[in-house]
Amino acid sequence: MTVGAYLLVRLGETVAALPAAAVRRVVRGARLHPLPGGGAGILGLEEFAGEPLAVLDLAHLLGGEARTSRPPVTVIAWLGSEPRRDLVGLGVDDAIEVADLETDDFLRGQAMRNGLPVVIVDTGRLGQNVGDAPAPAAAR
Amino acid sequence: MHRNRPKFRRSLEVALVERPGIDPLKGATRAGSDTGFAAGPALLFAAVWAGGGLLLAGVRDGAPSAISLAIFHGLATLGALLFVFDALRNRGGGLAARSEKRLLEAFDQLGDGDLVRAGEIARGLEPDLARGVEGAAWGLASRVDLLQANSHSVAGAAEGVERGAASLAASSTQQAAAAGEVTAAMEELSRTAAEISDHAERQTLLVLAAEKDGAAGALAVADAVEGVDAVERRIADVTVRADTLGTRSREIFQVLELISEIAQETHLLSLNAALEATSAGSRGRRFAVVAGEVRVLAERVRDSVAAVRSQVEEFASAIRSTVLATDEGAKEAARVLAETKAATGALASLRASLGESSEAARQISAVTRQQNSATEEVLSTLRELHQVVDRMSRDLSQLSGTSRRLRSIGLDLELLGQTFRLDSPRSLKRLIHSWAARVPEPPGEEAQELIDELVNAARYVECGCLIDLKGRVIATQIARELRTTSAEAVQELRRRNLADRPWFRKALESSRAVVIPPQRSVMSGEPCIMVALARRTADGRALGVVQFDVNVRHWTEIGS
Repeated sequence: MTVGAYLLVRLGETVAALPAAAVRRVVRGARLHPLPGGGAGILGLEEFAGEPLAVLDLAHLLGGEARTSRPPVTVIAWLGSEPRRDLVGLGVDDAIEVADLETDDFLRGQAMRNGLPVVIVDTGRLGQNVGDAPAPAAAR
Repeated sequence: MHRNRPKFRRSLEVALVERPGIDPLKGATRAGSDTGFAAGPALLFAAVWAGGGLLLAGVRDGAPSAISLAIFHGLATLGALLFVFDALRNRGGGLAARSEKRLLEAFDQLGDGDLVRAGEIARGLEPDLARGVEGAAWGLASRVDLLQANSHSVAGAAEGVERGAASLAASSTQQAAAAGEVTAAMEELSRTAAEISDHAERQTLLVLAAEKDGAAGALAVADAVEGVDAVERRIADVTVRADTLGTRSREIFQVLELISEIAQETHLLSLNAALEATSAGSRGRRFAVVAGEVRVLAERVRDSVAAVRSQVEEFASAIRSTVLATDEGAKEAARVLAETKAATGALASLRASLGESSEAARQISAVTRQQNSATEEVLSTLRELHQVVDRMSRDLSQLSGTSRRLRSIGLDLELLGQTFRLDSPRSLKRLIHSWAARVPEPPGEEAQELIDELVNAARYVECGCLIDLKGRVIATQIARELRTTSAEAVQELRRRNLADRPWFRKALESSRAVVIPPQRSVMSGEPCIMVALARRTADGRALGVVQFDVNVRHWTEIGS
């Protein structure tokens, strides 16, 4: 059983966990510029450190319903694996905390925290499906 | 005067009928003259007595004194002539025997009132004596004629006065009744006016009490208006303060929003710090703890902000409710104020109306009192008027009686005048002499035509008859207006024998006309004067008696 650091985010009623190593920064949701032809999971573009950054709908990516409003918090994270990985923004409802989760749960793609289930997000695989149809498999 | 009337009437009857010892056909005998002289003073006494009475009556009843004086003058002249006649009889021995007999005969006729015959006899006397006797006869005739004319005037005036008095009496009776009704109505009006005055005074008192209550009510309403005004001002203050609180709440919300944003930023910052600490490995573990503490603080701030926001929201909601309630209260206060002001206006109008009503009631009371006073004066005047009308009615009744008496006196004077035979159309004796002269000798069937003609010609004649020496009615006729109602009486008259009637016997015994004072007629039932005269031949033989009745109602028409 291995313990790893994860950023817990809230997606409606669901709590998801992003690996802390893949997360670069957590910022408040800024103004999004719509991206024509970007697909259902892409919310738009926002500016981060002087560069345009694609913001994705994490809930939609995890197989949930697409959000209709601008996300209040954007988690800037690396999706994909080396050598091909992309820095994107993930729109979430809130960033809860950075917490250590047990790996057994990790293996099943789900962990328990304070008696509640937490969805473990596999950012390496999730990067491959960006722009494709939602793939529940992104959650390990 | 009333006490003297029976005596006067008896004297008159003596003068009219009872003249024994005087027979102009045979001449006056000494014995007869003695008896005739005895009647002279009686007639003089009666004439002067009646004349004095008439004069007094004329003065007392207001009749024309000139008429009374003329009557008295006539009677005095008659008395004087009788005295002259008596004196001449006493010294008759100084005249020639023939002239003396004729003179005495002429004076006999004068004494019996036959002035026409006296004049005829006097024409055979010496010229001086003839002029003297004729002058005396003419003077007496003219005065008797004047007496009759005046008696007609007196009777006519009395009749007019009687009619007027009767009419006035009837009018005054109606006037008295009307005055009585008006008096009763005015008394009722007076009572009603008194009741109205009482009611008006009570109303005045009630209105004064209502005015007092109204003044108190006006003060209370004014206080209420002031109180409601104060409440409205307080409510306005509360509204302003609530608005201020609402503004403050919004400012608090803005501050809470800012705190919340700062807490969110802090939270995100602590998360980023934790992520950095994680990437630092074991060296960043302490930093991760600090970042965790910061994150917890940020969480607490966020929770506190949420709690404060909730409380502030409750507070704001309460303020909004307060503002709404205050607005409602302000509206209600405004409505109450408007109604109170309206009530104030209504109360002012009511007080004004009460004042007017009080003034009107006072005026009604005053006017009604004045009216009552005026009504009392009118009532007093009406009562006096009623008394005056009553007195006038009584006076008119007396005047009517006096008029009747005056008319009766006129009739008496007329009868007195009718004792004379005058050459005047008013003389009944002259009339019946002319009638008798036209009766044929001997009386035949044409006598009826004559009687018809004579009765039809004289309106004042009610009935005319020609009677034979045995007392049977040979011819008779009655006035036109009685012919339908008195036909049976006429037949009865034709069947009767009148030989035992005193006037019939007297007419046959004397050559002079007989005048009977008024007696009730069997035809009309009204008083009638009867005149009778024997129709004689040239040698003095009687053929029958001519008689007619004059209805007293028409006596003033004699000679018309």
